[in-house]
Order: sequence, then C-alpha cells, then structure tokens
Amino acid sequence: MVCTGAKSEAQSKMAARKYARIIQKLGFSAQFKDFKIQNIVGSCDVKFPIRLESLDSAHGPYSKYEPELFPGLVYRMKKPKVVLLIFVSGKIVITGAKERKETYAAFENIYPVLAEFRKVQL
Amino acid sequence: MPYCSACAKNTVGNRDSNGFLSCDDCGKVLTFDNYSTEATFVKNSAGQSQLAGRLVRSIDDESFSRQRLFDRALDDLIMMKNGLGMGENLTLANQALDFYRIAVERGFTRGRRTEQVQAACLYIACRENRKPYLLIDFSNYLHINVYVLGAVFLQLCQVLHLTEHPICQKLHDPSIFIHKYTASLTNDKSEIKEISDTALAIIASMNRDWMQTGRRPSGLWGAALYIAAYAYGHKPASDDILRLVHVCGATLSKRLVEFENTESSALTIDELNAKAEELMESPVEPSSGMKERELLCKHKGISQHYAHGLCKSCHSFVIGFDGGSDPPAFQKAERQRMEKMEKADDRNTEDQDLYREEITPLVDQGTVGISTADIDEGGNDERSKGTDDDGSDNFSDIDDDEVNEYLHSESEKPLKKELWEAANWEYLEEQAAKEADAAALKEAQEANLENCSPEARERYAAVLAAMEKSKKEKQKKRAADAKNSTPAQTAEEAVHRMFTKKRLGSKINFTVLDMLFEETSTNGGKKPRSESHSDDDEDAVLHTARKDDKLGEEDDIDDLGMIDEEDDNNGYDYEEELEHERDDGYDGF
Repeated sequence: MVCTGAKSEAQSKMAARKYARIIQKLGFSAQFKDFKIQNIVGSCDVKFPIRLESLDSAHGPYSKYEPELFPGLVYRMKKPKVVLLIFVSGKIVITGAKERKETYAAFENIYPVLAEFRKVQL
Repeated sequence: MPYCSACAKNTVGNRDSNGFLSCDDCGKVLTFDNYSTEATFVKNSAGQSQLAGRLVRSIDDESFSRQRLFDRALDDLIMMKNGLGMGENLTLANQALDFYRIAVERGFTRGRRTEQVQAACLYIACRENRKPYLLIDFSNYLHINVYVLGAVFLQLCQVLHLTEHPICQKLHDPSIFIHKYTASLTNDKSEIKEISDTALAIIASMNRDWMQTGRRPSGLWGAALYIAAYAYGHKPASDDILRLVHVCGATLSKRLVEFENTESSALTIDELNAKAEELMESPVEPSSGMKERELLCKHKGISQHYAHGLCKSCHSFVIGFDGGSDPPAFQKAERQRMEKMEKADDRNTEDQDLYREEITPLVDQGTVGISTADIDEGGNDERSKGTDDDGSDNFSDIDDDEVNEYLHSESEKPLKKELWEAANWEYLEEQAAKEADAAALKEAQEANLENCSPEARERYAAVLAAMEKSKKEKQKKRAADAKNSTPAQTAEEAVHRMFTKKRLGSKINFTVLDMLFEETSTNGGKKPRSESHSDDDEDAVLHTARKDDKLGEEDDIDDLGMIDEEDDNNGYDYEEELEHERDDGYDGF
C-alpha cells in the first residue's frame, strides 16, 4: 500500500494504519509491516529574486535550466541526494529526501549559493 | 591499353555490361573481368555446392540494413531541414546524421520514434552552428508536443555527453533570431538593421530588468520585435508576429504590459541605445570574494575571468547589471505576500473591533493551542516510535468509531453492489466465461473417469492436487533461487541459466552445447580439423544424446540459431566450427 499526501511523517503512518484497520474490519487478516517513508517534498521561499542563468553556468554539472521547456532550474544535489527546483521568484521546492533532516540540510547547503546569485538592489 | 592481336595495335576498347572488354575496330574480346561482390558457389569434391572463399568481417563492414537505416535517416533529415527552411547547405544534415549514428550505436533509437530522435539530432546541430531555430519550430513543423520533443532532446544530450557542453549550457543568442524574424517582416536592408538593433537593445534592457529569467525566450523576442517595428513605422499585424515566434496573443500582451511596467519603457529609442552603450562602457564591479576562476563561457581561453565564471561581455549579457526591476514572478509573489499580510492585519483589527475583551484570551488560547499542537506533533513522533516497539499489529490506538464510518452499513451494501456490477458488467461477463470454460473442462475429465472406481477417482484428484502443489513450490523455489543466486561463474553456466529461464530447454541439445564449451576451452585458437574428425564428433554427439537425456525429448536442433546467441562468448572460433560441422554449404550467417 502506498500512502501519499500527508503533511507529516506521523500523519502518514497514522493514515496507513487506519486503512489497515479498515481492511481488518472487513474480515481480511491484515498486518501492518515494513512502514517506510519513501519521499519527502518541501517548499520554501527565500524572498529574493535569483538569476537562474548565472546559477546554471556556475554550477553546470548539477543544474539543468531549459527556459524553453520549464521555467525553473533543476538542481541535483549530491549530498544529501535531493533534487531542488529553483524559480526566479525565490521559491524553492525540495524533493527526493528520505528523511526530514535531509531536506533541512539541502536548504542549508543551497542558501549561500542562492544568495550569491541574488538580485542586487541598487 | 590492352593489345589487340587482330588489329596489331593497342586499343582502349569498349567495356560491355557483361564485363567483356572488346576491341574498338574489330570487336575481338580482349579481356573478360567480371568482378562481383556477390557470393558465388563452387562444387567441392563431394559434389556439394560450397561458398567460394570466406566471408570476413572487416571494421567498416556495416550490414545492409544498417546502411539503409542511415540512408533513410539522412533523407528524413534533409526533408526536415528543407521543411524548416534552413537552406540548401547539407552540412547541418550531415552533422545531425553523425549524432544520429552515435545515438543508434548507443541504442537510443530503440523505443523512441525515429522522427523525434532525428529532430533532436537536427536541433543539436542547429544549436552548434548557431542557427536561429528553436525547439518549438521543430515541434510546430512535426506536430509533436514540444515537451515530448524537449524530453527526447535532453535525454539525447545525456547520451551524447553534451550536458556540460556550451551547446546545452549557454542560452540562445537573440541576435541571430531577431535578424531572421525581422527579415521576414520587411525587405528593406537598412530597415532590417535598424529594427534589429532596436529590438536587441530592447531585449538587453528586458534582460537587465529581469524579465527574461525563467521565461520562454520567444515571447520576449516577439514583444521586442513588435515595439521595434512600431517605432519604425511598420504596423505589424500581431498575427504575423505570433506566427513567427509561436506564442499566443495573451502572452504577447502580457510581455508588453510587463515591459511597460519597467523603467526603460519611458525612454525613447535613442535614449535606450544610449543607455545600453553607457552601461557597456562603465566599469561594473564584480562581486567581492570572487577568486580567479576558470572561464566557463564560450570565451574560454580568450578573455579573462570577470565574475561567476564568465568573462566581462558574457557577464553583462547573462547577468545584466546591478539593479533593474524585479522579475515579474517575484513581483507577483511579493504582491501575494502583501495581500496576505493585509488580510491578517484586517482580521486582527476586525476582531479587535468586535470582540475586544474576548479576543485577547481567545488569541492567547489560539496561539497556545498552536504551540501545544506543535509540541504534540513532536510528541506524537516520539510516541508513535514507542508504539512501534510494542508491535504494530495492535491497532488499539485507532478509533473504532471512526473506522466504522468508512465502512458501508448493511443497507448501503446491496446498493453499492448494484452500482458496481452495473459499471463493470463487461469484466463480470469475461470472468463468467472463464469459469464456464474451466467447468466444461472439468466435466470432460469427469466423464473420462466415470468408468473408474471411486478409489481411482480419489487417486486422480490427489494426483492433480499434488501436481498443482509441486508446480507452485517449484515456482517459488525458482524465484527464490533466482533472487539469491550468485552471478554465474562460467559462461557455460550463464548460458544454461539463460535457457532455463527462457524455457527453451526442450529445443536445445545440451550435450552439443557442453561440447562446444569444452572445445573452446581446450583449443584457444584455430585448429585445423579434418572431415573424419568432424564425423567422429557427430557420432559422439548422437551417442551421448541418446544416453543422457536429461530433459525429455530432444527435438531436431537448429544449431545455427542457438549458436548465434553465444557468438559473443566464443567469437571467431564459431566460424571455424560451423564450417566443419555443417557440410551442406550453409555457412554461419
């Protein structure tokens, strides 16, 4: 069974167990085994515009930016192994983490990079 | 110049289509060379036809089907090139064909439409030669979704290891595109130059104002062209522009509005150009803390590093300058933030007006509520981890009443059943048909057993059940084995496994197979073999085949078909063995 859309790890587990209980009540011998969080998606806002073109040219091996196809830059971080979608408005989406702390670590890593390419206010 | 004895002189001679070289004057046949690359057959001592010579595989030996594939690809590429109007020069098509060759070798064309792969190859060639063609032009011409084509293009870049090449890294240079678009709007040479320059200045200013980041370039170029054309007295129908840049009217108007909001919109053309030049000349300080870095832009090795891995000109092109307007996406986000803050403020002030005394304790409670909820969430995590250890099958912490809400009541059950059966009647019919077939089969079997005694019937049922069980067990065991087994130690083992997995065991003479492995292991290189030797081998094979018949019946082997699969293991030796084992003139191909 795959449970998706929960807003926290505990919620996800609770929902999965509820469903298992429902199946049990219907008469099937259901067991609840091997619960594992497979993917955590998080979004945040750094509140300053980011120059995606220069980020792409500076971090070439990690970033993929094709304005013809998608407005955001796809940044594949190696450690922790997560994917970040970076948009010009300053909104960031972090996905692919198996644990909450990976998401936080990824954001810690990317923030200085983004600050480097922020729009400088005159 | 061969010599003709009848005419007593050297003559050039005419060559016939049949290969005869005949004298000009008297027609005497001088030479007869008929070279042909076809396979010819001669009769050997046993009277059997045999191939004259041997087929040797050379490096350049592409099979005919491969050749045809590339010829067809080249034709398609040329057609695509002409359809898009890239001119008569074939260099683009040839470059694209080179990319296509590599793609085919890497197996990229398998499972993808050739049209899409060819388009992607041509697009890479265009990008390399800086031709003004966007992906959307290709998708428009071929009627393929641009995102599908884009995905193929990105995957192709991955396969060709072009991801860090400037082709894929650097953005499109608008100057080449604007010239193309302007040329289609007007024919006057001087005008083209002026309009293009103005349009480029507008684009540069859009760049400075952060309008370009994250956007499809074609929309901005369309807007810039529109303004520039207007400035020079042309009144381009918006339809023309839209057709050129492949955007819709709404996008064009949006870009124009955004440009209007920037500061540069208030400038006249001359002022715009002047500002551009001024900014180019003025020294812009690179951001501090940038050490000497390798240049990543196209001026690698030519210019000096300036900032962010780019030289000065590329930096000003890509990054623009300090300041400028905020990108529209960011402006929208800011606006939403403002609205939210205002709403929160309004709500606070509203509540304060209406429920002055009650609100403060409520608000306090609210915030306290939130914080306790947070703590609870954190606490929940701890607690749930605790219950894990107890045994997660114990669902005692789940509210039974809530669960019961999810289940249908007794009255709802038949209604739902009716609904479902009505919606899925096709599936139910299929299942009923299957059951009927199975029942008919069973009846037929029963009819056969009617004459037997009840004990016989019992035994028969028991045998059936046992067979079923053993089949299931065998399947499970096989699956477990396949999962746990180590990779095959020898090629022979690997081949055996492959055959059992694919269930081709009954079609293969395993003894011959083993012999082949034996032989190749004992004689590494070529070994001259005589007729009698091969006869002995064959006898030995037949003999052993009858004796150790591990796999039931042995069908007639198609030696060649099976051996081809092992070609990789044994390489050249096969050609040797095939020649000697098969005397019916059928060489290994």
